[in-house]
Amino acid sequence: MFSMIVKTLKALNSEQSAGQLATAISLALILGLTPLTSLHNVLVLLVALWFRVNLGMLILSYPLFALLGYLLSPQFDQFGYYLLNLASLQPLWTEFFNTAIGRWSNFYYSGVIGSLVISLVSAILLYPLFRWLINRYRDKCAAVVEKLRISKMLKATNFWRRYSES
Amino acid sequence: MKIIRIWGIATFLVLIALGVVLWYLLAPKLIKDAIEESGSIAIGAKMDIADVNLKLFPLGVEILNLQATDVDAPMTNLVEIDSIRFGLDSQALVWKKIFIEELSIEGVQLNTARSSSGKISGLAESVPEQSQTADTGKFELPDYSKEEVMAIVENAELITVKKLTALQAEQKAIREYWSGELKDNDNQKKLEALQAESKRLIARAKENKLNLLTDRKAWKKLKKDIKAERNRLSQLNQKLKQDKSSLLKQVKEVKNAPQQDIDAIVAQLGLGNGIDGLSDRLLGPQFTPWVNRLLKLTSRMGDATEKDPQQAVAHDTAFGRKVDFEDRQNLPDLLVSKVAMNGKDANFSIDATGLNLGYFPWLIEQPASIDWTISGDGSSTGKITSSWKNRNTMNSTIDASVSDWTLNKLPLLTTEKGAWLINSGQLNAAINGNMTLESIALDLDIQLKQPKVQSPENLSGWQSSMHEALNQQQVIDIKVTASGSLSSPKLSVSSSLDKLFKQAIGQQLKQKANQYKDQIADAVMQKTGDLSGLGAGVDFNSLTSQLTDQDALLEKLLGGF
Repeated sequence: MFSMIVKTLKALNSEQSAGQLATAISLALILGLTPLTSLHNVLVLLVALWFRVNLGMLILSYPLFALLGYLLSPQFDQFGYYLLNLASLQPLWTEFFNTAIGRWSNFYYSGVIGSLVISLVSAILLYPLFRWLINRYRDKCAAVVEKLRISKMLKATNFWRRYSES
Repeated sequence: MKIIRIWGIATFLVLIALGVVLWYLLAPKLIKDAIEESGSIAIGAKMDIADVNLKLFPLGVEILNLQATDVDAPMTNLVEIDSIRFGLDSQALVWKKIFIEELSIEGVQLNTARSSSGKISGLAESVPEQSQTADTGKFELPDYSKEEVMAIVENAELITVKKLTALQAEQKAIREYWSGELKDNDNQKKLEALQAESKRLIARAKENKLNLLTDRKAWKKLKKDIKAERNRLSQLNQKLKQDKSSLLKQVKEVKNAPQQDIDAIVAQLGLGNGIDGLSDRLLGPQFTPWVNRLLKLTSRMGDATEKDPQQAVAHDTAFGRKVDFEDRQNLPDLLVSKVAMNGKDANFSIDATGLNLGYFPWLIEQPASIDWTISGDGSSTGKITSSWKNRNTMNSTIDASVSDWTLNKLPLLTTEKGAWLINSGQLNAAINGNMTLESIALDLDIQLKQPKVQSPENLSGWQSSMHEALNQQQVIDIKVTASGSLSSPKLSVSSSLDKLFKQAIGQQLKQKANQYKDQIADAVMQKTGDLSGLGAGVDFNSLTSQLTDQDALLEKLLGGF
């Protein structure tokens, strides 16, 4: 966990693009808000591993979004139930239900479809915000954070040295 | 900058492979735990499995040595099965459906000994249906303290109080009426006026006989008025008689009401007509629960069918509400095409076949059926078929029988002293009938031959005499009938023991009832007061006398003409 924090701080201050970090947060958002064992999360995992997404940021952000997902699950359920019963979407749902992927995707559970739609929309909409926040951090806060006593203490530890060398 | 991570794919594949391997290693344990847990809850005692083997090619499951404890005898297995084997159709699995071509159950044995107790303490909370059955199964004669009897009478709506209140209201109304009719001044003045007019006309006639002619109109009017008054008095007299009769009748009813109250409270205490339907009350709790379970199971299936097939149906789950959409696969979520079961030991052999078992049943084109043959000391054969034309049309039939089955510890009834078991004897039984989603018609006939009843120790009173009587029976016939509908089934039990129960319990009930009757009578009297001196509450003699006097006076006036 400690090494993960070090890696993340390093990534934030490194030359890694803000897009890579923002993508990691967006993917963590999808993983955290939706039920972990759903089929779509295999795709999320594939994207996270295949593309140069910062895995440290993803792993660190995931628990925060998972907690948020737990707190918002009644709202996801309500929204999902509304979507699944929307008359205009019935043909689409029925078609998807009659595909093998649809059958295993669990989309027909209100909690799954509700959280998936909300997390996808949020991930896309919040991606520019995450990018902007990371750039803002690098421009304005990084120098301040570097000077903080806790940062200096952190950098003095063996862990930091080990990870900064790697 | 490269955006692709080449090793990412490899990592992904390794992770997926690890997941599959982990699932393969853990799945048998998960399946074992799931079956043991759900099975234990279902039977109310331990269900153990020695091992579960999972085969990948072809996909199949093997469950070894399944033991299901007899809930009434924790050191005995109700059933023990050497192995259960089945293969899963991988094409159906693509559609998330479980299709088993053949499920083979081998080495079935009944009533085998267990090496450790299969009792699960605290499971009663998980199986409320069973604990409820045990509670309602206990039969005991009621026992109340004097204070409890007083409290019951205090809270009861007594007929005596109601009738007494009505009587008092009626008495008050009658008194007020007659006071108005006979004691007001107008009435007296009217009589005096008639008397004065009569005297005046007589005096005038005595003065001069010709005045008779002159006053003839006045004489006629006087005669008419007197007749009208006498007529009114006659009607009053009639009403007085009616009022008297009505009040006396009510007084009689009030005096009889305490007995009605006593009878009603005795019945409320469970001592009144308690000797009716004793078979239902005594044997019902032992012989009807499994029929109830069967009906509830079918009823649950019925609930699932009440939805409009065109509408999405929702079920609550851990992932939220599951919404069902039109399934074009035309295959039920679970289908076992054939179940073959066999078992044999020194004393008995069993063969059973199940066909087309699955859920939802209306998605299976063939009717589901189970038939079995068990032979040993006794024998049993039976067949259950269930046919679903669609989700709203079901027709199930059952036709099964048991012949000369040796009885051992068959629960007969439960009283507050404990369970009454039939320790030896022979059982013959037949169940047949049919069920649809709208109606039930099931008959279960049980015949217990040469029953030897083991009753709880230290019996006394009615239980003692019933124990003796039961052991003298050559045959006990019990008939359980299920009728009504799945939503409100009616179960009734009758037996050849009815007369025996009445003899044993009826006498005791009477004695108990008499013991409480005096207490109840005292409590009722405290609430209503002493009714022995209760009378009409209206002085009818005085009223009659007044009417008679007035009529006599008017008659005398008429006689003077």
